[in-house]
Amino acid sequence: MITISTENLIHTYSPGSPFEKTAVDGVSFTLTSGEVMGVIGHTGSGKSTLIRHLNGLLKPTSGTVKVDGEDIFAKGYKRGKLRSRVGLVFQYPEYQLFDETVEKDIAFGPRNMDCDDEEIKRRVVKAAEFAGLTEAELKASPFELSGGQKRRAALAGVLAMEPEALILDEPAAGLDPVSRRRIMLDILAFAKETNAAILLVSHSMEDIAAYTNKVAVMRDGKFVMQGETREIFSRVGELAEHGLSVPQVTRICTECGCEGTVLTVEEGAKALSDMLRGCAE
Amino acid sequence: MDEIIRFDGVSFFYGKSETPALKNINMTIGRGEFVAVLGHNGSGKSTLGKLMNCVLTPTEGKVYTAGMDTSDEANVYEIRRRAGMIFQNPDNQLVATVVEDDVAFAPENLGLPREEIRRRVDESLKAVGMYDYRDHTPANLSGGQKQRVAIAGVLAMEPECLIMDEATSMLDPVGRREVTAIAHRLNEERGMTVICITHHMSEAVSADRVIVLKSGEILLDGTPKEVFAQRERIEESGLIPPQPSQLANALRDEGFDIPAGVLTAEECIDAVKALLKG
Repeated sequence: MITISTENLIHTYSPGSPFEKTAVDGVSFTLTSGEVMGVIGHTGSGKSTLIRHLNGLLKPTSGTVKVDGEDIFAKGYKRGKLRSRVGLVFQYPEYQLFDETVEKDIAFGPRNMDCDDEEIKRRVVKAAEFAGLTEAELKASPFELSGGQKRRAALAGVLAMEPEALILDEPAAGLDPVSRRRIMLDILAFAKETNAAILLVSHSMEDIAAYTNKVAVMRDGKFVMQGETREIFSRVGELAEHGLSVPQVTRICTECGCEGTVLTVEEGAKALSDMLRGCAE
Repeated sequence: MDEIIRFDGVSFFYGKSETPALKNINMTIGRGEFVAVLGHNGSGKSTLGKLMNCVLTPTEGKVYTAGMDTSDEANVYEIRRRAGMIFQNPDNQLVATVVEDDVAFAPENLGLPREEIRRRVDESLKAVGMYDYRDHTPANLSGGQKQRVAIAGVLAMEPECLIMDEATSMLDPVGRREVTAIAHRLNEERGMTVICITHHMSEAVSADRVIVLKSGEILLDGTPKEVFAQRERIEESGLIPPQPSQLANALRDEGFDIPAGVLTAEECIDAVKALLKG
């Protein structure tokens, strides 16, 4: 079990200089094992700055970040250990692949955690399985792989640390739709099996609607909306004020008069079929 | 239709690779067309774009851009002037510290007189709605604004053809809308040919023509309606149709009388409402 929480988190870049900018401005939230939380908002709204606090890469200007109730910036807190508990996957993580083979690259994390060879082997196999990497792909150089394969290799490197929380910044950007769906399903399968907490930053309303169970909307460093996913996507007007839209399927079903808020194509097809059958009877 | 791009039996191999990135491509793109190029990662989309303005030259066959052979080095500068390219990462293609200097970079290199450079820079920045930012530094712009400045830089060469290689994939939804709207406006108002290489089905829906590549070959080529109607082949090529098409297809599978070729939310809503009135 892991619980990450922030309280009134504020981060100001270059304080006291002419370039002073408050990127995160009083954010409070809690993320716990088994939850999949989405964070949406425009470029520059502070999403990337926020997530860098969650494993201690950035120190807040004020406010706190707590993991299991302990302030991670308190004196004596072992932040080194935290990095393997809270895995952070940056945008385009494949740029960070470096080793001769995919297998060695994935083993890098567990090796640095002082796992023994047997444990490293077990973790690499398990991570490769989650990320859908084949034996041949494990033996290949990361640089021989396609874009989608590289992304999955990079993800496997983080999964091999068996993090209890996984923070992902646009994990599917630049991938084709099938690879996109696949990597998202891989992440969810990992979360389900290990009961990990997931925080997903994405510009894709379709992905956020389909894969998360709670959502925060970030604007100018603040969480301006926060709630359960279906409830957030029912507030169409408010989202529009923040320059965000709902998935097309949500809009179609609302305009056709379906009750409730539909989040996926499957739900939409069911809601519309039921309605059409209902009116034929 | 007057053609601007022609591929004659083009194959392309990277380095010593034995698998071609593109295999025997034959196609033409007409002047003034808005073409979306789709395909899975590694399908050869970007290679196709790069062959159009001499970033790459074919291993076999010939590519002609504005009637000029791209394999002839003497043509390189003229081809790049006529067919400008925008890439994925907005941070990788701006060179100057002031917006208007960046846009002036190409016309300066063309050796144009001062007044002409001034005119082109102003006009290009106005065309993308970034004139008010002419004395700003690109580093302080949003991703969408940076891509618009990059487009202005291309426009300052007064090209006939704009090639966008996943130019919106790093942008947020607002940035994507801005850049897509500019491309459509240039196409409609100036008759500029636009080739939009993308993973976003929504961008393909609004194109005149969609080309789908699979493993280096053209799998489908037609209007968005024709292309997305080919459900099996779309799936086989690693693509997922736009949500309104998926929804319409699912309803048809359930036996409802929804017309084929639904692409937009509006079309889907109209089709469902027509059934409800029944």
